[in-house]
Amino acid sequence: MKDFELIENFILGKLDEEQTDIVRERLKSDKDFRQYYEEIKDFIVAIQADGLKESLKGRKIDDKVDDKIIHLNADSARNPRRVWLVAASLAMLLTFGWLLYTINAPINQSRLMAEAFYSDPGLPTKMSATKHYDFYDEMVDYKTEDYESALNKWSSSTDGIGPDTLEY
Amino acid sequence: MTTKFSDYQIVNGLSKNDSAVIDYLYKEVGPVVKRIIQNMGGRAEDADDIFQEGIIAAFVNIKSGKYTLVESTKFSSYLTQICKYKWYDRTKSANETRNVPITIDFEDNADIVSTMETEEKYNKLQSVIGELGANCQEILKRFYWKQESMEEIGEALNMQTKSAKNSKYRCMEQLRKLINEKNLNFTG
Repeated sequence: MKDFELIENFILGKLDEEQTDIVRERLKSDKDFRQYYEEIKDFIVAIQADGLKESLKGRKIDDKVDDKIIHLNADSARNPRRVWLVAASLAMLLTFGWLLYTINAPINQSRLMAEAFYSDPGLPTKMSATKHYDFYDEMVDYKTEDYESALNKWSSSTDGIGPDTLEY
Repeated sequence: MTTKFSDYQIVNGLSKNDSAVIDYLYKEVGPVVKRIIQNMGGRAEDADDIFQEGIIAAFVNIKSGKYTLVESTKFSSYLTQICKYKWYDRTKSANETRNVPITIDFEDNADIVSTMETEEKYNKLQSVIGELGANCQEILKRFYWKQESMEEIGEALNMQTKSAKNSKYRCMEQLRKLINEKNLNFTG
């Protein structure tokens, strides 16, 4: 085998073990052979680099890695643990905010009125300086046409106004 | 889905022109380099060019035996450093004119500088290859790059296998002659 073929096949890894050993031995001992080997190796590497350059021509960097990062982020956002953590934080924030608002908010007058107001039933009789309460109470019944109640009260009345007055 | 490669697989695959490894580098290291170049004032197109040159420089270093895999340095870091240096080198003169201070730290600077020197040597060699005839370039590329057999090459170029083999040898000798004529000493 010619030196060129021997070296070429050695570089391309096409020699058997025995031939490989022969080349290695010659590379150690034969200076001219070593120089020839270096030249052929350089030529082959340059040809291959030229081929690689041509195959990479016009190729753009794949930006899908950025998409992948976004995708990974989306995945982590769907992570149940993360979702719960976000939900709990949000709930705590809302509760705290509501408490803060309630404590510091100005008193709402109409709301307070609606909560506390109840209508006064009023007094059973007109307020006056008289001491004949029962009599006037009976008169209220009479005026509101509750005659039965008025008669009952009159019949048992003890506040000093006798039946004579009534009869009169 | 992209297969994840170990550094050993990357170096081995790149040296054999494994397209899966090259795809992997473009997807995994490319965007990092792109971001660095853009942060240093470059455009996306600059990053594409620089990354392509970086891959070729790394390839040449692996093939010529100048790059050896070291456990402490990831191949992706090595490739990123080459690209950073290349961008620094490309913008150096412009930055000097504009008095822009260069603040790039290169890890393992000596290794990167040696990579650049090796690449320069192969760039010169490539320009000499470009001076060969079209037929010679085609045969050499098909055999050494595309790894086609001499039978396939003969068939593709309408030649006898033996004739194609002889042509290949003659083309390599012609290349040697051109190198000698130009006094380009690449060995050593």
